[in-house]
Amino acid sequence: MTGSKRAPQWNPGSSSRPTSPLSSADQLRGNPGLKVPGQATEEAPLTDIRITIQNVTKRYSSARGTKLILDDISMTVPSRRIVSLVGPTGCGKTTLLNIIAGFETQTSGVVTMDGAPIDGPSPARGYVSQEANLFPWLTVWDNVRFAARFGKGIRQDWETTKELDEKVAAYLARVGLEAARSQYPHQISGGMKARAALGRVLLMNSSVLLLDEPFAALDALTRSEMHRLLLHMFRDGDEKTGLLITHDVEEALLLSEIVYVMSASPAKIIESINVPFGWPREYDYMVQAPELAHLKFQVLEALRPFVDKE
Amino acid sequence: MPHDVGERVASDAGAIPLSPATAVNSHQTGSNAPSWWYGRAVWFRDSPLYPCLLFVGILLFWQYVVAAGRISGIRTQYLGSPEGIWRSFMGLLKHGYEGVPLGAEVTASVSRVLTGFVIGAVVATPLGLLMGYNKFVGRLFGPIFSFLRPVPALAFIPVMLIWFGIGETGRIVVIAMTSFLYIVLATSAGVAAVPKAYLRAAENYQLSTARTLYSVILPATLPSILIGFRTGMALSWAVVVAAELIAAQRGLGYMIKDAATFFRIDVVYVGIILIGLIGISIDWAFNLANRTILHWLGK
Repeated sequence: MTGSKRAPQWNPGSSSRPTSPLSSADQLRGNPGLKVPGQATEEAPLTDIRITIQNVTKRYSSARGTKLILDDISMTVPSRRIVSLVGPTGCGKTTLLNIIAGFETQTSGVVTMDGAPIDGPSPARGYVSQEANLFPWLTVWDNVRFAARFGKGIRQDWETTKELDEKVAAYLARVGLEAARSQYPHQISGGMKARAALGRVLLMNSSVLLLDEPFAALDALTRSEMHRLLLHMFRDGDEKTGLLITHDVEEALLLSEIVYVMSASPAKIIESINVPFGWPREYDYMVQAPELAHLKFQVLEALRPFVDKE
Repeated sequence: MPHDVGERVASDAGAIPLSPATAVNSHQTGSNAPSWWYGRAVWFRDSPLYPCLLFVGILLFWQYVVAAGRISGIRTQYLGSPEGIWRSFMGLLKHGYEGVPLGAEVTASVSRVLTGFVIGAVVATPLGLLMGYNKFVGRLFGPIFSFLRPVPALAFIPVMLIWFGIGETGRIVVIAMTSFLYIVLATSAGVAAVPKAYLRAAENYQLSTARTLYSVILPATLPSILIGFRTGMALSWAVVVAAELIAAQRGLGYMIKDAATFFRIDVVYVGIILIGLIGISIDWAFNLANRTILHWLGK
């Protein structure tokens, strides 16, 4: 691998050219990351930053007092990459994603996308969750088409509904659902639901995908297929950026360029790991790579103290 | 002890209490329970023959008691008889009740219920959606409806008589009110139970409020609304008969009350049976409609 165009790198805190006011390097410096001796630090392959999260805290107030959920979270999501958040169940990952999606607001701190603060939900940040939230009363076709047809803020690159329908057909084909177009969600498998959710978010022209454990309910084989599909989506040059929440460490490593490891409540980022497999990903190579097992061990070790403390 | 683990597994499996489902399967896998019993048990449980036999048996016993006239303390002229009910039913079909055809009595009751129910449903569904969607509207109307719901509709009939006279209006208002109160409750509760994921999706797509209500919340609430319809309809049917008992010149309730005054007990029975049959039919029709409309639930 060393010497190739996209060599493996272990340089979470290394010197990256700041391409935006808050470069990834600045953000990562606060986090120790993994230090692997003997590996040369090279320039990070991170380009411009899509999403910046600066000192975000979140408190929930109730009659019994306040509970700190997110404790001073800072991280960045580079453009055209997938970044993962892994952490124990219930640690606040989803809260952070909801803040980025605009469903919730942070107690303090700043979240920006392309430099502008996030002030509510937008189709620019397409949200895909575990239950795939397809509407059960619509067919696969109508589910995929629904957001594009009725969403107000969606960038429409079609003129007529006929053109839209052609696009729907094209995207259904892309996620491999042509045959299931007139099925209802209760008639299709979990993997097909995940495909439909991805097809819908593609059609929404979301430039940022917020993925909240989208494949957690799938069996291992189907999940692996979905990983390929997702990586394929990012390879196809749609200028997409992804933020993936998962507690599947291997999934995080396989899919993302940076893995942020979060501690249990209150959630803090305890590690950030640059996954040195280059981009675009060679999935088949990665799955077999011995370095993957090594990285997986590192992340699991970092998470171990929090496993029982949900 | 090389077989220790395997043996323990086997004995554990034997200790699992068998549910009926596993019991049915177990005779194929060689348990010592009598295998002929299970097939019979299922057949016995599912066969419509036994309830029918029970029903016929009750009718025969009734007919016997009346025909024999021997059991002391029973005045058979007040008891009626299956045969008499059949004869008076045929008579009612042929000549009607007091010159009014039986069909007209049934139509009078059914059309009252339908009119009242449709009015109630048309007002209740959008209001229930709004009450569930908007907390302020929900809190504004909620207490009034909660107060009115437990009051028996019959208590309002004298009020309606004073307000609207003995015409149709009062009865239809009572029926509309009955179905309204239950449909509003079911609808607003249904909206409150819409999964957050659907609402988040609607936010994510930036749907307009009208589009969210019509294309997301309404279909998501539809199962609850239809339960409200079914309950409202059943209660309306109960209320219309009661309303006709108190004040009406036509309808099944009126027929029962009028026949009872003249001790035409068989006619009363015909009325009761018709009310029951129509009630069942309405419920069955609603059930069928629900299952057709809600096919996407996959049940």
